[in-house]
Amino acid sequence: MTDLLLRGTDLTGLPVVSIAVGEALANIKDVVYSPDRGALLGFTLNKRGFLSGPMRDVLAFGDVMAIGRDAVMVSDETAVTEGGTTLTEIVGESVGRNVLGDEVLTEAGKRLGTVVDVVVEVSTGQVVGYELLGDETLQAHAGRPMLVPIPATLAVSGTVLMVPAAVEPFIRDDLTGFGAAVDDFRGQLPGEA
Amino acid sequence: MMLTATLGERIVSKATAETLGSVDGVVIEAGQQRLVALTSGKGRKARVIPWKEVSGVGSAAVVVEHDDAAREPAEGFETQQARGDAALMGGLILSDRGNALGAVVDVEYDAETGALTSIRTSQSLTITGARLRAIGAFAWIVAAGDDEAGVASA
Repeated sequence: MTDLLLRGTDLTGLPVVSIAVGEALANIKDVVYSPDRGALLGFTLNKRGFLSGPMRDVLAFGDVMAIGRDAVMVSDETAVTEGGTTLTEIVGESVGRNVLGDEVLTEAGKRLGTVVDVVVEVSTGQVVGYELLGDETLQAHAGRPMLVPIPATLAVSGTVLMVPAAVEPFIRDDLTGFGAAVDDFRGQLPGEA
Repeated sequence: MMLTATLGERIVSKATAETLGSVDGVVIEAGQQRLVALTSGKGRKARVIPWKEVSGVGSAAVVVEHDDAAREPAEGFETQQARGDAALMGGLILSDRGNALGAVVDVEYDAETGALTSIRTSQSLTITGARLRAIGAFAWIVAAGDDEAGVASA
């Protein structure tokens, strides 16, 4: 059963708030995501307020207590850390490995479109789908955004994401009901029920 | 007792019947869910009157034990709240799940003990005082509850 789903871009700009003291520590700059593991690794951050700009500090998903519609909650300020962390190294290595703009192909060789956003199940940090700009050859969604469920693991290269051909009946237009589509899609894949 | 009824009340000394000032704010110890002091004066001039010095909160005045009941705020949350650096009335209420529940419009408290009974929000929610976890410059943090479903995003 999937929980609250949000687009990656919905998370951008949310404040990171300490539960211990009620202070906002930073704003979310970007989502750091591992396409091959299908999981959110954490976030890069912006400073808040007048001197806003990129921070060297990062927030690992493991240090997140909750992600809501209005804030990303952490237990205290120690969750926001600079340097020396695995996540910092991943962010450094992932420059140029952005999934946005990647082509999505089915295993049958059909091109579904290009990635414009990721859909995150916020309670688990799992990326359960992509928002694509529909390819012109996919008549039902040509030129319109569409939500495509993805399996828990999938093949990725630098520019192409491969999804099972069976995904097409589970493509949706909006997030309402998309969680059920993800469950149904994954339920009929071997080994992912 | 509602906090909005207490704010602005005159503060009168029980010992001399002198009016010492007015209630400009309160200090809430979030972890204890309790009003621990009243404040009088604003900004750097704010002074606090610890709850144990308050002998009565009535509809006409707040009565304190003696003329010297007020003192400088202690470091930490007392100074932060007394000087207005932490959001009190009008402050954003955020659940520990990261959902906004509105802004603080009033606080109900026990006039005898200072215990926080409930927090009233701009989204017409009544949050029990026991759910309060922290008050900071950004938000009041409360434990998540059933009232989160259907609450509009801030």
